[in-house]
Amino acid sequence: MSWGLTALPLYVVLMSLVTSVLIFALGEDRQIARTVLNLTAAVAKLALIAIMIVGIQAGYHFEFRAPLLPGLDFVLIADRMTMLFSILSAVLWLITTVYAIGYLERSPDRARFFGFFSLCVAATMGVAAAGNLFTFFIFYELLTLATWPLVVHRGTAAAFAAGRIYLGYTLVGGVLLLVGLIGLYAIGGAQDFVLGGALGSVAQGSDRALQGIFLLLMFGFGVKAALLPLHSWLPRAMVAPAPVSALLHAVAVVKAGAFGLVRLVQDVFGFELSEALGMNSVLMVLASATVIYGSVLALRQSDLKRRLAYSTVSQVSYVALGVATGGTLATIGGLVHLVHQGLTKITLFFCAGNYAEGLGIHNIQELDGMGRRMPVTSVCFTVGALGMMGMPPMAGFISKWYLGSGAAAAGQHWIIAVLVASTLLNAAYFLPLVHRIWFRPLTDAGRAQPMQLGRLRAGALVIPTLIVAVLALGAGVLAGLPLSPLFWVQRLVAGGAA
Amino acid sequence: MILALALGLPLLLALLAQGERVQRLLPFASLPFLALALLPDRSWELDWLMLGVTLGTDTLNRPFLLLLGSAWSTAAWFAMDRLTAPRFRVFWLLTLAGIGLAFLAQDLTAFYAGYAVMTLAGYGLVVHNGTDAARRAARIYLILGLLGEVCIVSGLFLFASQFGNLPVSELATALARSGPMDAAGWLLFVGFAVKMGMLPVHVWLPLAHPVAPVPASAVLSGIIVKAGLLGWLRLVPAEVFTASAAPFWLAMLGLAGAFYAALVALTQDKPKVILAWSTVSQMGLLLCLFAVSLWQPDLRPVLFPVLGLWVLHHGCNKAALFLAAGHAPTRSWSGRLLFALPALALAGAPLTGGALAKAAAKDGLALADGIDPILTLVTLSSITTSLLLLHLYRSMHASADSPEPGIHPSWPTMVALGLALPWLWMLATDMDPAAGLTLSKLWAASWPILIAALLLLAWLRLPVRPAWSWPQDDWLALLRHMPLIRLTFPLPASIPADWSLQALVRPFNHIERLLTAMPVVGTLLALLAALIWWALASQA
Repeated sequence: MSWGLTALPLYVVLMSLVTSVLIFALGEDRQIARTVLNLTAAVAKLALIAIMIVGIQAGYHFEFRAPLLPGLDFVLIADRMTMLFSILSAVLWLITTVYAIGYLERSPDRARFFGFFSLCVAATMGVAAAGNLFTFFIFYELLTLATWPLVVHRGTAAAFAAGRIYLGYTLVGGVLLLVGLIGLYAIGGAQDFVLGGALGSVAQGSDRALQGIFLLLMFGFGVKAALLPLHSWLPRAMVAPAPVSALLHAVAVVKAGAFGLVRLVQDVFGFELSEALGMNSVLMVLASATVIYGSVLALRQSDLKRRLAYSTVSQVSYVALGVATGGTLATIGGLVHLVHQGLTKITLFFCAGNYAEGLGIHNIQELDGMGRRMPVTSVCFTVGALGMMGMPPMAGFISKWYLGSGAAAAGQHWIIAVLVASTLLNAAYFLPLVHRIWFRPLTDAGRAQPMQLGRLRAGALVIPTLIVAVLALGAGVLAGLPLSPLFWVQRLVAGGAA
Repeated sequence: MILALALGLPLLLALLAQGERVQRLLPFASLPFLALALLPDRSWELDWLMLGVTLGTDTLNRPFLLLLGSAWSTAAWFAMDRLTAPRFRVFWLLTLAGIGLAFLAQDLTAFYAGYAVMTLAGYGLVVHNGTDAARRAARIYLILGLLGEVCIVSGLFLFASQFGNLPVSELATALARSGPMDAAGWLLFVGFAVKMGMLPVHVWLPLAHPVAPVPASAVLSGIIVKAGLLGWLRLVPAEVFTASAAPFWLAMLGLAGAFYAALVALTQDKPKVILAWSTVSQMGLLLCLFAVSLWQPDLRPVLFPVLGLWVLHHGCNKAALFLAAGHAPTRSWSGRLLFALPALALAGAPLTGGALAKAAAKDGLALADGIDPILTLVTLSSITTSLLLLHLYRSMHASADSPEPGIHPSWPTMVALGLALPWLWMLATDMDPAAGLTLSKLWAASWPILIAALLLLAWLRLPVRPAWSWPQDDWLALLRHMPLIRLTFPLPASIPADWSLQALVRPFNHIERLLTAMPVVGTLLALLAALIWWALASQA
């Protein structure tokens, strides 16, 4: 155990954890102190992460290790994969905090909200930095519990119903994960995350056991990653306030599941072993089915946020699809989509929140002519929608390019058909919205509806939206620059875990 | 510098398009492309942009850039004075940025990116008038456009799986190493064919081109369709087709389109619809030429400048006729002259760009073996084209609406471009325009027009003339009456209750509701756990 600079990953986690405790301690009324604390912590975390990036580039190895039981260590590390996920979380968290402060202005129970909000950050950072499956599990479960108060924040009957379903799915998913974890320890295979997996030595003769464990872990992660048929909690959780939905979909819960699947295939089993066990085909087929199924259902939704939710079900499975397909190109595509989907989807959810707060718009039919009333939000929404479709030069295109060419390189040509179908379905459920926003005339109701936002609040909502939209566009247009998500992922896949 | 200006200016103006001042700048947005076309070959590498973008000018894209720089700017001049909606400006400029990127692109992703932006932004031009017809046309444009695009991107995925984001100039050598990739070749061919209006995926074109505002129609029909041709020339590898009989049948398909579309045009009565069908017809001839170049790749050096000539000639003259449709060309002598010049050029009358293009094409085709029937058919197509244009004049005379009095200066400019550019192009590419000045060539260019005129006279003398009619949307009209695949649908956001896709999706809905019932959640997960436990236990 060392407490010096090497333990930076721990400090990143603690930073949010302590913030959370302090926010609870401050209470409901100290709004300015809470806001300052929130933003300071978010910025400080970004600074710590920046230090770690510099360190990793210089070849420095960050690790914090504390033995809990013999053979059972609590390990936090910072490999490139950690950094990929934690940069995404830290940046989006800062932006979302600003957004949430504007969004929840004058609504009750803000201390509770921001307290759990920070706890969520801490858990997500822990998931990102976990160095073995056991540590991962701890933070993964913490994330489940910390998110529940956010989902039911509104306190309505619908919110509690959604919360129940959310807990029902995720807790049982946690149980599956735990059983799988124990199984892994039982056959002596639970070790630190290593690219390529560390199960080579125990692989002999225990194929069935390993297959079972893979399935347990896959479904355990699959619940949060909204893999078919375990996705239904996600659209229900739409009752949460917009910033929570945005985070749920872009960074925290869904992404933690997808990140878990990445760790599972890459760092626990390793791609070769997964393939030898035939498990990557299972994941590939399941992910493809989810991609299509989510898109088809998104077509059906007339509630804006629900449509976005089903779109997430579909899009997050790109990550699993890419990793399961394997090979350099597809893996790059899957991993980079972790970031690209996050940026794009958070843009869309912020926009949905702006429409709802500004003009009380929840249904897509009410979007008619909104390009005139809320031009900035509408431009951002268009950027996000086109990004989801995979239109060049948006970020989604970069992901799709690598996924598609990677599928062909791996000889899995049918995946191209899945991607094509997904593109067309995405067009079918996003373009009509864009059409409504820009080409339909304002309805009388839309014209009469007064703007419900003051200037300051509108700024607090629109500026973060604009920033994430610019990031989502920039990640695609400037993908060739060093430090773009694509560049980082290419280094990650080419250079191993270090 | 000039490159940044060419691609940056349209984007910058699109960003600022809300401001009224941008309106006065519309014609200048496309001028830098003219400069690029006139400057010597250059290339630029922009590593930081997307997946690494290579742009450049070469012999292949020069006529396209020339057309963009001149004809687009001229059409924009018309738009500057007649179309002041800020939204139109945005889409006009975005379309320009897209097509400019596609024309300049020298690698796979940049070309696709430009092409996709162009297609999507083009929707805004087609739908602009906001009428029901415009909305339906725009929807069909978008659906077929997207289908074409996924074909293209699938083909590019196949290339990229082997070569990454390849410079297009290295495609041929890379394919020679890897062996031909048939699937990729066909996917790309079909994808670009949608834009070119090849039979049977041409249906969107006669719907979309006429409903757009006049200058948008002009660039859609004159310039944007040509992006499909450039896609063919750049990305469709001849190796896939050379050994097979496919190019012969593709050439036949092109000619079939040339005749079929001209005949359908004769049944139409709106000038812009006739013009749109004429574009389908002319693109059929281009397909024929392109197919021959696939068939006999060693003719490519001869045929490509001919295709360039054709691009310039058709682009300017078709745009000029669309601008004519925005005036009342039959009401004054100057109007009649300005109509007659591009019309005669399209019909291939002696000394016009059309005659030059046809003569050069025939000379090129004559070099190929076993091609006599094609040559004859190309000659005969001049008759149908002439008939079409005579019919067009009559329909313009008959259509009462004359939107604006007077003649906007962009119209004569476009006519002048259509007359001059083909000659200049021939001089610049060392083709010999004098070869077309022999008496026999002049006669060859004249007699189809004379025959067409005689046919029309005979037709007008008939005591009883049968009334022909043919749906403007061609075979889509069949689908209109089929409840199952109604293509008249509004896209899903506004599905009427009986929309067929809804029925398809309904079972999913039941599943979905089931999955959120708490007992089902528990049972599902318990079953899953039991299943996995069984898998574990049976191993022991």
